[in-house]
Amino acid sequence: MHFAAFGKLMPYPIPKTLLRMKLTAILLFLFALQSMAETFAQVTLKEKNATLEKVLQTIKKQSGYDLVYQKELIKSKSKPVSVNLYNANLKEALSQIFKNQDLDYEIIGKIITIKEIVKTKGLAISFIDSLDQKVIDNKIELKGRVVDEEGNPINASIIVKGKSSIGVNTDEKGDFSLRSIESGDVLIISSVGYVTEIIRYVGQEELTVRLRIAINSLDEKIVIAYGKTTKRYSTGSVSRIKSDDLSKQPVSDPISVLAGKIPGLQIIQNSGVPGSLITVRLRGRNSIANGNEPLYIVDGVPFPSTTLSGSFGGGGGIASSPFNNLSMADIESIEVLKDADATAIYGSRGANGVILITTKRGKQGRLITNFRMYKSIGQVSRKMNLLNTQEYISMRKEAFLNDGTVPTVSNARDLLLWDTTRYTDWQRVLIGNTSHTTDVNVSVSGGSQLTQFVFSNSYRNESTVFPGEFGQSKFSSSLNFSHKSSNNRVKIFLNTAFVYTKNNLPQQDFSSNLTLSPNAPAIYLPDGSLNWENSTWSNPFAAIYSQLNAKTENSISNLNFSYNITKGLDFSLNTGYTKISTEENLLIPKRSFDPAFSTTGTAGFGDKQISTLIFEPQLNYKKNYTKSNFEALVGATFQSTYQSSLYAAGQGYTSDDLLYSLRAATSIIINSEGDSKYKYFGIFGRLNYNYDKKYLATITVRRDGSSRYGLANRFANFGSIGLGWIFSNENLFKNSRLLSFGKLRFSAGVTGNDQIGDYRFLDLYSPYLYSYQGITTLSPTQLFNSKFSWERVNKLEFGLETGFLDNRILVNLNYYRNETTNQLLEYGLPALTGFNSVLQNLPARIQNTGLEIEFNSDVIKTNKFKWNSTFNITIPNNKLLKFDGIEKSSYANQYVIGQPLFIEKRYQWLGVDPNSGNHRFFDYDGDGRITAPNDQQVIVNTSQTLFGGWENRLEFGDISLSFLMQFVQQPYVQNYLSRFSRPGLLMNQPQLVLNRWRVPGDLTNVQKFANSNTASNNAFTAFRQSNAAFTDGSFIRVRNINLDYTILSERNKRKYISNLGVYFQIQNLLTISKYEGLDPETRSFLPPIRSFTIGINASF
Amino acid sequence: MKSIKLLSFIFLAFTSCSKILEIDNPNTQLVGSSVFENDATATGALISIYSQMENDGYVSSIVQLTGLSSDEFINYNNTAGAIDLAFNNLTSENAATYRFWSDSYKFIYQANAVIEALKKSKNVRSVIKEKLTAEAKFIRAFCHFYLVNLFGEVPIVTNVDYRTNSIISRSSINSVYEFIIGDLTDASSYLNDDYLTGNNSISNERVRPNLSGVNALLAKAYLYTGNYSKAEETATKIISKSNTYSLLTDLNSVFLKNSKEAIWQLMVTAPLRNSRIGFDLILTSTPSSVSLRPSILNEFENSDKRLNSWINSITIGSQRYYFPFKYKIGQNATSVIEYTMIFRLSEIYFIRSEARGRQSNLLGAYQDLNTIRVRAGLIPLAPTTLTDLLNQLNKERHLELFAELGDRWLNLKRSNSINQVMTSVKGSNWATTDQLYPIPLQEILRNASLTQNPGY
Repeated sequence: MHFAAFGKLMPYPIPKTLLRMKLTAILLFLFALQSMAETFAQVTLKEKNATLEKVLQTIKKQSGYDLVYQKELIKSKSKPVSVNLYNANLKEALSQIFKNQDLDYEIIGKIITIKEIVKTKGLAISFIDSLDQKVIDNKIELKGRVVDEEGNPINASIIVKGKSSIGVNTDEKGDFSLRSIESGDVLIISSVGYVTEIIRYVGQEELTVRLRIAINSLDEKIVIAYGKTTKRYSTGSVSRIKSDDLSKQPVSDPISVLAGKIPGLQIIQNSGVPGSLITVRLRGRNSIANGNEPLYIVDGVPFPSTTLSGSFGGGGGIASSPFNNLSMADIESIEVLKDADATAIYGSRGANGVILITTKRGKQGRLITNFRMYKSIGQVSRKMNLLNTQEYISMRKEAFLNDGTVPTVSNARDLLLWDTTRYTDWQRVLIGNTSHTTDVNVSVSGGSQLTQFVFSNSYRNESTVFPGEFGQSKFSSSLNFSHKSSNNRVKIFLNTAFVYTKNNLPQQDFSSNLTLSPNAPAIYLPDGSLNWENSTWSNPFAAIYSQLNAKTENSISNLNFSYNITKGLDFSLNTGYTKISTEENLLIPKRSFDPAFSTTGTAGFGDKQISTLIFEPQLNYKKNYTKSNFEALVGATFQSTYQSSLYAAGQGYTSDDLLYSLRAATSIIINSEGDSKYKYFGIFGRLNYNYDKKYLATITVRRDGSSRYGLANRFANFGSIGLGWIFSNENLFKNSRLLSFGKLRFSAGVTGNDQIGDYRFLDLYSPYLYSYQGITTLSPTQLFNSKFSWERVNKLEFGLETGFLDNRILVNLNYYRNETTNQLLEYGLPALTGFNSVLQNLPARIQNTGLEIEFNSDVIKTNKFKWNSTFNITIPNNKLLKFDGIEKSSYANQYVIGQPLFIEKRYQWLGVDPNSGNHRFFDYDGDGRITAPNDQQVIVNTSQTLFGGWENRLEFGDISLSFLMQFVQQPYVQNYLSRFSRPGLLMNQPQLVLNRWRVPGDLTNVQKFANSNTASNNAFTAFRQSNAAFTDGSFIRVRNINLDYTILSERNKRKYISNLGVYFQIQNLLTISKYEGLDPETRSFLPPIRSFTIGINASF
Repeated sequence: MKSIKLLSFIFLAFTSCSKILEIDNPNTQLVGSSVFENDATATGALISIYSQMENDGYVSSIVQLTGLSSDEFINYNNTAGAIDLAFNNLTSENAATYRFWSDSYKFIYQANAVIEALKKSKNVRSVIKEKLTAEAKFIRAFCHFYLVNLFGEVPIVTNVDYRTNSIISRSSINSVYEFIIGDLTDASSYLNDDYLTGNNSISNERVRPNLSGVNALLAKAYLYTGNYSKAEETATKIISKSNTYSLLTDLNSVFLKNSKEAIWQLMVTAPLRNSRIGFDLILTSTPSSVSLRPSILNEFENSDKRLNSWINSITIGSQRYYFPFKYKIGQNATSVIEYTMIFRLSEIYFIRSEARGRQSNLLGAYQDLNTIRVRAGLIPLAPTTLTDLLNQLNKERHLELFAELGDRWLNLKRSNSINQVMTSVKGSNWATTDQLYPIPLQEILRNASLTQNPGY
């Protein structure tokens, strides 16, 4: 069955049909959900002489609307109700029920308020001015204030429902006062972007109402460059992930959690080793050769996206992710900024998009202690079917038989020296262990109206699926402090965090050894020492003693000061400093070597640090007219980054106990050292204009300078324009029952890319590793080119954002087109120039286009049961539009105009020759031989052609269940061959090789077994370089399942515990894929870990 | 008003100065222009090439590549690249031959950079400029010499301009030799018999090429191009300096550092090591890369001292593996006693012997040949015919210079005996086009002007 993928000879199968099928499925799904949602806006009632209260409760249940009424009032004034309605509109139903009552009702938002009929004023909301003076005298005066969770004043409206309805608005300080209010009245406090609060007035004279940020995702505050906005009024393309989605997941890297959740964002997990580097691509690959990393900003301070793993390659054979050095529990939200409008203000750093990470803020109120802990166990999620000993031995014998040679000790130690009946399941031994993770977070938060804080501490420990005592642990501590003056003009925010990560990982990925012969010798001798079987094999368990220990310290501090100069005008200063330093120790004790080869140990010592300082003064001016709202921002940013590194190796250790001592080495080599400085300066301005909440415009300009360019090309200008039209606020749609929100967006602009490394315009010499004749030797570091200039990315985007049925269904469509020009390339050169590349601008133009569809629906929303479903899909397309002179360039055989950058040119595989038993290929140039480059003419497109995720959240009272499915379509990825060599050699093979060619005339896809046969070897070498080395690596992964049970909440809280919940979570439960290797995503590295987690949350 | 003041303050503070972007040069690196304004760093830039040649395994790779291609070594390395090399089934994607190609051109680049920068330099003393430039030209010639011998027609790179070099095409073998001879002739006019230290004063260590080092390569180039009179003349210049250079009677001392026989050696500075060649070839356990092909043992005459002094073996189980034992120190050296030999006097005798023979001076030719034979403990031969001489030279070169910088491979090709010898050793795997290595595929992909050798 595995051979289906082998049989694919044509480079282009039928993705278009597939795509169409998938789109149809999505549309059907959308349609189904929409019709369901409409049904729930209606009610079905069949009652005879029922009490009004009972009927209203039924309506509440069916519609999901809230009820506000006084029990006595209903009991005394209501009359029995008889009603028979089927799927009636809520309004119709209510009007029928209240037809004969002495009571009246009113619907405001999602609240049905029941009240007496006020004969004089009717139903209209009356303002204080129009109230009868006589009445006011009898009322108690109430002074109140409305603030957000951080204590900032909110512009809100308050409606009082008592004997009459009155309404007021808060002033700029959030204050309001009410004079005609009596005990028992109901206050409804609402503001755009916040959850409406309903309070029963009990006669107090002062009241502070704290509004929570709205759950409605349209009006949620989202963090953008140098400010905040809401999805409703944003002209840019911004996606957001909230803390609830992050902190429960048993992973260490917060960015990895974004996989499958954000349209346009491709997250590729490279290995299942804890904390390993992930690949992040936001809207494709803009640059042929230079940095394609988004810009990361933590609370306003740039965070390095480069790994701190040094010259030792990182633990587990893969570099570690810098985002491990962030504390997951402290993150409030992650915003992903995509289009020109959202990113142009970052100028030259925004070309590949921007990812903003915001930490949690303190809240006004009593001191709350939060405790969260989880434990998880994990195992490798996928394994392969490999040959057992019997099959393996017969493969080897057949190989020699085919070669016509007799096995000798030197080429067949597995047959002649090793026990040919021994069997070891190397996958079980090497990657079959269970990993354990423990994570604890304790935070204390609280504060007064003017000062708030959060103090958070986390500890995390994670082990691996490898043998040996390996793992990663992390400790973090952070303090977030905010203060404002009582006149509200001065605000100070301080965030300081410290994260300490300790990695203790094997130097290599044990999964690289799963190709060991199944009859390979025993790992240990009876005395417990490693068995080297007379130097006939390299024992994979030697790696247990070869450790790479890395200690990383990350400290972030960020201070934000703002001062309100005059009405509408604010000055603010953002300063920040981040420093990450890593100390690495590579320990290779002598016991990890075969004593026949080496009797001394070696050790590596690495130090690397990156520090960034940022200084950003800004002025912000706001002016509101009746219909027009202006907001202007001007500012400057200055950034300075310093990096340094030093790697040394010590050799000749005679004692394994002294490997941490460099002095104990008998010889010391400085492997590498380096330091670099980077300065960056920009001034920027942004103007927002909003007319009548319908027409939106944003203009951004920026002038940037970067020290990475030569003196003549240091500065460049960038900018963007974003336009939005909220058409749902036009009269035409105002009364539409279906369409509750609709916005058309357009943005265009230019950003740049300076991810080219420092000092590339200089002719540099560095000291060579070894001196000569006792003097320092110097060798050139790079080819230099003093004239290169900025790479520019032109971005264009159209967006349609819609909300239906009171925004219960949100559908967003984005189309983007990014074009990168003036490509700054690490231009590949023939080695005869002395180097392999030089940095230069080339007339190449790359286009990334894509369609992103996002769909969010509260499918069911009743008090008892809620179902929210989010679906996103991205169809990216990458194309090399233009590359003048490509045929004469070093890219002539790598890229093709009109094709993506992800293509590879390969031999055309023609199957196994029935006569010779070796692979055959198409001889394009007809010269009788298969040679590169002339015969490498089949184009294989290794792009991801579609990706996305589907997340569902179900709530049944205290229980909630959510699951995330990630899907990726990638028709051509490197298949299992990336791990395996030619069948017949001294290494294990997948079961599928058993279908090999045996005798002339056999028709099969697996070449004959051979040990050393030149023709077979050449054919296999070409096979690996043919289109047959690719397979469909599309997959659907159930990435995350989470089950929550809330035991105590605000509703039923106890004296000492206000919140208590437990949860159960499964990561990577299931992966559906045709891929024959270990895993279609991590491929030649350790597959992702399937983990089971139990966690507890409590607040005191 | 306040706000406008503040605004203008911010803008004034920042816009006026592009100085704000000024960064210091890195502390751990030097800018090229400053390297070549100082005697010590300019010298460091040049002799760095020698250090790289030794420590990056460049010279050792010549031994291993040609040893596997010819009949010197048996391969034990299981990688496809090594198997291909040992079976003379190279592909243009072979990593080892690519590495040799790219390292050669890397050193050529560095030599060119020294030559060009010193031309502009103001502060390096002119006498040092001359010496360094001469050595750089020698390095350039040395690398081109091995390139032309292993790959055939190759591009001649004489400057550091990547724009022109990246589209350069191959030059004829004659032009390459012309260039080599030109460079060496230039170099010889600025060098004398002194060996130099790192401070460019007189040294007793033979680790930088002096005039005789240049002449050694020049004599070889003349011989390879059939200019026998010049070859003889140049070889004589070296041989006549008998105070400096002489053959050692103790064969075990020949490869010691600064031995009397050494014309140019590479100093060893990597820790725990002597010559990289000894490190790579001396066996202490089952071979994992190469061993010496035992057939050479049968070619030695009984009394040949070289057999016992320069070849050793190790027995594992029932299997006996031979290895070259010219260098005595392999792994885990405690002190440095051996340097990597590039040119030594015995080869110069072979050069002159052949040059004399080809010029019909058979008497002189046999005299030189016998000098080597007598040192090895063999009886002198009486002069016969040129054919006899050439056959005898082929054999003697093999026995004297095995596992030394590809002499066997180069000599088999030059003497036109390669097809016959290789067919008997490698059988049907041998094709006459295997005499040249393939131009690396990546180079052809990146430089469309390069053509491939026949047979690849």
